[in-house]
Amino acid sequence: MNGRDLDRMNSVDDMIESPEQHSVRKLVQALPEESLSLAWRSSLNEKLLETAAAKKRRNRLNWILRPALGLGLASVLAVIVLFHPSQAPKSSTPDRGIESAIVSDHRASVLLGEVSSAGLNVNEVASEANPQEPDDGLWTDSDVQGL
Amino acid sequence: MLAAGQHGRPGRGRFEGIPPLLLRAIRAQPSLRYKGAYTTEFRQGPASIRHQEYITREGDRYRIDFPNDSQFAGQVIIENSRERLHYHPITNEIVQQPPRHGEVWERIANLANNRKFVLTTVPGELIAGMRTEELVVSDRAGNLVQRLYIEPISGLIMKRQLFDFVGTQIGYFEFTEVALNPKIEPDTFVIKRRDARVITPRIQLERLCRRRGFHVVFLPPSSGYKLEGASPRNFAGTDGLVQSYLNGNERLWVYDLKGPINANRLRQNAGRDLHVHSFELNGETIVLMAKIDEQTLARFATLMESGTPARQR
Repeated sequence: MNGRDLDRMNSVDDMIESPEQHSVRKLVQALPEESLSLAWRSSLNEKLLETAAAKKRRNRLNWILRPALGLGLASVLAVIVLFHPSQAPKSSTPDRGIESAIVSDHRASVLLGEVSSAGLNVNEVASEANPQEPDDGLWTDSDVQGL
Repeated sequence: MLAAGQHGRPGRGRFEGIPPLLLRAIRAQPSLRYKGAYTTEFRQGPASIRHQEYITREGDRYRIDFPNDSQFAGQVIIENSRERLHYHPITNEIVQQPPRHGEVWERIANLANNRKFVLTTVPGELIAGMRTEELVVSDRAGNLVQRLYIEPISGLIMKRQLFDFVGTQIGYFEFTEVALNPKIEPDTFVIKRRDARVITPRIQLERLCRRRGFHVVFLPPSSGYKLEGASPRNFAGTDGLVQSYLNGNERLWVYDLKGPINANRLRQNAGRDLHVHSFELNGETIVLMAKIDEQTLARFATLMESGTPARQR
């Protein structure tokens, strides 16, 4: 320690021992000593316990609800993907006129059936129901004429 | 038909309010006896198909023959109250079908009882040398539906014309000659052909399916309906077969199609009176169509599915 340091310490001691410092010290010493009340500590503990219990309950509920919510969302997504209710098979078959052709054919058959009655009807006249392939075993008028 | 084949036994009571001329024709049915020749014409698509037939009739028994120059020459059709036999000389087969009796006169009577239609009687033409009275059937707006030319004493319908929605004739028959109350030999209504094979419309259907590459699907007789015949068709570019069935006077149609249809669209096109049920079988679309309720048609569809051989399904 050199002389300069010794001078500085002396000046600090002088400042501590100054009358201003003494009056502040007395003022602080005069303040009443406060001790923490037991009732306050107890209520604080209770509040802490309550908060902890509520947090535990919330955590437990979240543990159940979160997977359920996730599962629910996944199910809804699956239903939408699989069944796609907006895509009803309304226009699955393009209108090529086949339905109206069937109904027209039906109406014509009914009407033309009335023309024929006991005779050949339009289907028998125009279709393969009237076979054209000969049976070899059948004799014809020319066979009879040759007898 | 009440002329070219005036079938059936008309009942009583349900003909109230119909014109006396038509009533006479209906009541004459059981006792009509005649021989004659008539021309028939159908319009199918853009073409008209015309041919001539000879008819012999005694009450509910009929015989139909064809002129020698006809494409149907040699064929003979015999019909009575139980069956209809159609002899084909080319194949030497007799096709056994259900009778069509009663069907036509009943529909004419229904027209008379239907408030949608108006029936009027006017003097008719001279047809096959006979005087006729004309029964005109029109709708309430005056659109022509049918014209019937009736010989008033016998009640024989000498000519009948049918028209489409825009008044175009789509079919007709007309007697060219007729003899009332002739002598008719008893064997006229019998087909005697010992070596001929008797086949059913079902066998004809199976042949047609084989030729056209369709699975054999049919309505079994347990439904009460008997197959009358089948013919190929093309519906807007889709190959199909049409089967017609008879149950007394009730008809049912089965459409077998090599392509899908829109069932709702078909139902809309069919309208309120005609019911439709469709399903898929062996990759083909089957449509049942009749004036019977859709539940019954659905039941018939189940019968058809269960009646289809397992190898086809």
